[in-house]
Amino acid sequence: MNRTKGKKQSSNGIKVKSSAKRLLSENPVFVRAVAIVPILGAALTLKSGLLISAAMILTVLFLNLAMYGLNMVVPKKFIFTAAFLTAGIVVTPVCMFANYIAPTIAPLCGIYLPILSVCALPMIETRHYGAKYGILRTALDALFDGAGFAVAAVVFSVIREIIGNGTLYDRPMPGFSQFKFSFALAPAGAFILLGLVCALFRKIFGMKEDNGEGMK
Amino acid sequence: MNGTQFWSLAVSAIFVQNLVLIYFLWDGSFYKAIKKPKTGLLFGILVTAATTLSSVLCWLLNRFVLRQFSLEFLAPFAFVLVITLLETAAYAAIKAISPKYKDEILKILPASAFGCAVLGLVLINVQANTRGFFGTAFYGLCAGIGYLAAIFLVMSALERVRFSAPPPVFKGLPIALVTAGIISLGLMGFSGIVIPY
Repeated sequence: MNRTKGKKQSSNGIKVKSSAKRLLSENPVFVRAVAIVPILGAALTLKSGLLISAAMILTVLFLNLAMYGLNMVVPKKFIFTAAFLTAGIVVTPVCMFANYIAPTIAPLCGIYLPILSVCALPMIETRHYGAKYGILRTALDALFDGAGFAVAAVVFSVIREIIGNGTLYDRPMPGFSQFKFSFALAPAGAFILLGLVCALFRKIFGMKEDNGEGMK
Repeated sequence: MNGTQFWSLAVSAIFVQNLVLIYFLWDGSFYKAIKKPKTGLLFGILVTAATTLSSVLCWLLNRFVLRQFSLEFLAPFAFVLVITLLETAAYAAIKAISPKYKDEILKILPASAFGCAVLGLVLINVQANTRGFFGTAFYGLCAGIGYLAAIFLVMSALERVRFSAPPPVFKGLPIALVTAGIISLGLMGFSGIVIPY
């Protein structure tokens, strides 16, 4: 019995380890190249980065759980349409919740909070549908996907706020506040900065070159 | 609205507020579409049709239902529902009419309708709220044209970049982002342009 208990514990450990890959080696933004839009558009400051991270984690989690159930009833032909509709249903209360907990920051995220619905679609784990993966594993993978997005959003928003505003969490940074580079807050700056951060991430963690296959 | 106002809207939608290069409304489908010119053209045309029709329908929904009954908080779901119904109707129509590139169109139809550009544009229109019915429809059309132009701009630039052998860590997404940023820098020169009417 102890042997089975040990086996079950190690199997749980493997599940968590496998899901935790989504934080770095299978990061949804820097490696798989999905959900870039809200990071470019809304991650201007650390506060907004944290808000969209929280919103994305909730959206991805609930969307995956909903799709896990819907996949059993909806025919394969209509599954993509059902996923889009479900994303719209899931993101509406998430946006309301974001406006409730951060009424000053949510309006600054603008259209990018509802856009999370579309950006969460590539993070639906179609391989979890069926008997092989249980609901717990689905939830775990979704959680780590959201956490991977959060890592990217927080890192990018910190860099962008420090370089663009000279502040961090609205507090002036010593040494940086005099050398603001507002270009980092502009659309062009966002593109270039994210490209550089992405390249740096791949260099540090030794990622292979991306041939765009991760973008669905 | 007079001709100059429409002209102003066109410049604004295509250059000043380009969906891809200023609002970042691109996704994986855009990245795949820019790899082949024919797919890119077809994808851009579908997105233009989607942006125009969804702008019109969502404007009507917002004006006569959501604002009338103070249901603005349901906007994300309502617009997603409209876009879904539009895509379903388009799917059925294309299957029935059976045009020349039917299979290719049906393959990329969901990606074009369910992308960030269509939903994002609808939300931008609702935020602006000053254009009226015809202005919104025209803005939707021009925004789609701007999206198509962005596909070809970025595609042409990336083709040249691929031949210049960027460093290995930049290959793929990083160099695509930097390239888009440099093109976006050019479009930033249009910001602040006001066509008086």
